[in-house]
Amino acid sequence: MTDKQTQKTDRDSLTHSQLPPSQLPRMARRFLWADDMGAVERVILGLSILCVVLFLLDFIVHRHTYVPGEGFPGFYAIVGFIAFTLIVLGATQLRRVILRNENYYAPFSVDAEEYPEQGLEKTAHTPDETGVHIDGDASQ
Amino acid sequence: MSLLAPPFIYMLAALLCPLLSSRHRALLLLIVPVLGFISLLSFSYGHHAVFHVLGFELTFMRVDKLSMIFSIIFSIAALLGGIYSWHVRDHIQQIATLVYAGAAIGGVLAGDLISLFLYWEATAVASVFLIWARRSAASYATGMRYLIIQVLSGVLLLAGLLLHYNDTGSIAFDHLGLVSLGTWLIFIGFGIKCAFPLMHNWLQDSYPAATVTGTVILSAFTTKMAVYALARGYAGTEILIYIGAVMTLFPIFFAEIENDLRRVLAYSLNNQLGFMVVGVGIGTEMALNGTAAHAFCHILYKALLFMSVGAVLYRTGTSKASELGGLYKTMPVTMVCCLVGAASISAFPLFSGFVSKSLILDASAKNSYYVVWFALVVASAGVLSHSGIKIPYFTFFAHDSGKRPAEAPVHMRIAMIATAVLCVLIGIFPGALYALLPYDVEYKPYTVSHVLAQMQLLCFALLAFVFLMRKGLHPPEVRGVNLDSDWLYRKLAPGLMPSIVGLVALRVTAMQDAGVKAVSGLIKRISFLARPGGMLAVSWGVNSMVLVVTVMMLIVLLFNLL
Repeated sequence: MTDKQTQKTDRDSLTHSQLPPSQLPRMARRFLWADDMGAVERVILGLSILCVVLFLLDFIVHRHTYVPGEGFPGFYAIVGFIAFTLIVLGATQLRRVILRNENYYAPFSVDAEEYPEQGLEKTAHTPDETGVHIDGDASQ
Repeated sequence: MSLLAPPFIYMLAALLCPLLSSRHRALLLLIVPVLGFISLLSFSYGHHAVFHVLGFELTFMRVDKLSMIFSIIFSIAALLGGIYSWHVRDHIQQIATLVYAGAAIGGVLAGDLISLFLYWEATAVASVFLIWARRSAASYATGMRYLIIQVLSGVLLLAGLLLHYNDTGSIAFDHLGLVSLGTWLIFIGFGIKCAFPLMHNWLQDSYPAATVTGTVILSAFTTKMAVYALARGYAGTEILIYIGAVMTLFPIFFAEIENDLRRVLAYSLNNQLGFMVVGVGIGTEMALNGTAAHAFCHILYKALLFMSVGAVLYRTGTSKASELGGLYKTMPVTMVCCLVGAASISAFPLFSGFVSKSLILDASAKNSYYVVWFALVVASAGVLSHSGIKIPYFTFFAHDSGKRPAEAPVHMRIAMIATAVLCVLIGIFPGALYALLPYDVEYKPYTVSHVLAQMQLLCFALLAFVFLMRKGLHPPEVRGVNLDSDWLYRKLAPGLMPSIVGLVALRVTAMQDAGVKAVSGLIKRISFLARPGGMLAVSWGVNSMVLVVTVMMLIVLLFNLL
C-alpha cells in the first residue's frame, strides 16, 4: 500500500467511522443521547406525558374561542395529530404518482449534477483533543 | 439628501465594486446595509427623492410605516447575508447582491408605479446572477427559466401600468383593487413574484440552483417585495384569501417528499407566503399587521434555515436528505441554529413565528373566514412536518451518513447565531416588533388559550411523527425529482413541439399546393377564354362597349350613394 493510499484510508476511517466522544466538539457531546435508543425512548415517553397533560388541561382551562367547534376539548390535539398524519400519508401517495428519476430533467436541472467544487470548502472535522488536523473531502 | 436614499447607496456601492479588491468588496457588503439603514432612519414620513422625468413625477422614497418595516427587515437581511457570504470572492455575486438588495429596498420605497417597475425589473436581472454564479450548465438553464418568468412578471406590470395610466391618468402606487384590465394585469404581475399557485414553480426550480450564499440572499427579497406590493395595492381583495389558503396547503405535500432540502425550504417559503397573502386578502388593520409581522419574522427564520442547510452544503457538497444524517456530531452550532429556525417557523411559543402567525389566524377567525382559518391551522401542522422536523431531523440526526464535516466557518456561524438570537428575541419580546407594524396594535400573543392551543397542535403533531416513524409510514428520503406544474413547460411543451411543428409544416405545404393548383387552374381558364375565337379574343362592337361602360359607371354611382 502506497503512502498516499494509507493516508486516504486513515482519513476515511476518521471521516466515516464512529469518532470517540472525546474527539467531538464539546457542544455535540451534549446531544449524544440522540444515538442512544434508551434515551430516545425516554424523550418519547416525556413527549407522550406532555401530550396527555396538555390534553387534560383543556378540561381545566377555559380557552377563548372565535370559531364554532374550536372549544371542543382536545380540538387542537386532534387536529394536530390527524392533520399531520394525513399530510404525511397523502404526500406518500402523491410521491407514487410524481416521483421520477433524478436525471429526468437532465441536463437542464441541478438535480442530476454535483455542486461545483470551486464554490465549496469540504473540510473534515478536526478532532478537538488529539489536535490532528485533517484537511480533505468529507464526503469521499 | 435625496441622493443618499438607501437604494441609491446600494447602487453606488455596486458601481464602486469593480474598483475594489475582493476583501474590500466583502467589507462593502457589511457597510452598505448599515449605511442604508442609517439613511433610511434619517428620512421622515412622507415623499422624498421626487424627480420629474418626461412629465412624470417619480417618487423614489415614499416613507410610511408599511414601507418602513419592509425596508428595515430588508436591510437586516442584507447585512446578515453579507456576514454569511464573507468568504465569497466572486465579484459577480457581490455586485449582484448589492444591486438586488438595493432594488428590493427601492421597490418597497417606490411611491409610483413607474419607479416600482424599474426596481421590479432590477431585482429580476440582478438576482439571476446569484443563480448563474454557480457556473454550471444546469444553473445556466435554470437561470434562464427564472429570468423569463421574472421578466414576464415585469412585462405584465408594465402593460398593466400603461392601461391603468390610460384609464385614470395616474401612476400613483396606492390602493388599486381589481377594477380594470390594467389593475388585473398588475395583480398577475405581482402574483408571479409572490408565487401564486401554478405561477410558483420558478421558486422551487431556481432557489436550489443558486450558490450556497445566493439562496440565502434570494430567499429574503423577491417574494416579500411582492407581498408588500400586494399589501399596498390590493389589501382587502377577497380572492387573495382563497389564493393564500391554497398556497399554505399544497406546497406542504411537495415539501414532505422532496429530497433536496433547499427545495424543501423553497416549498416551505411558498407555504409561508400563503399566510401573508391571506392576511392581505382579509385586509383589516389586524390582518395587515399580521402580514407585515409575519414577513419580518419569516425573512429571519427562513434565512436561518437556508443558512444552516447552506453551511451543510458548503461542507459536504450536498443538500440532499438521502445523503445526509448524523451531522450534529461535528456541526453542533449549525444544528442548534437550524433547530431555532425550525422552532420559529413552526411557531413554538417563545419563538418568532408564534407572535406573528397568530395575528393572521386570529384575523381570519374574527372575520368569520372559518374554512380558511381551519386551512391555516392544518397548514401550521404541515409546517412542523417539513420545516420543523424534516429539515433538522434528516440533516443532523436520523440515520448516520458517516459524514464528519467540520463545523461551518466562523463567519457563517456568526450570521446564523445572530439570526437565531433575533428569532428568539422577537419571540420573547414581541413588543419591539409590534411597535414597527403599520397600525397600532392591541394584541397579546401570550395568553393561556393561545399557548395551550398552539402547544397542543404542535405536540400532538410531533406525536404523530413518532407514530408514523414507528409504523414505518413516514416516507423515506429517496433520490429523485418530483413533478410539479413546471412539468408542463419543461417537459410537455418541449415534447409536443416537434409534433406541433410537423403538423404546422404539413398544413403549410398543403396550403401551398392548393394555392399553386388554384393559380394554374386560373391560368388555364384565362388561356381558354383568350384562345383564337374565344370570348376575350373577339373584337367588340361600339354599342356593346358603351353598354359595358354605362353599367360600370352606374355601379360606381351606386357605390357613391351608399
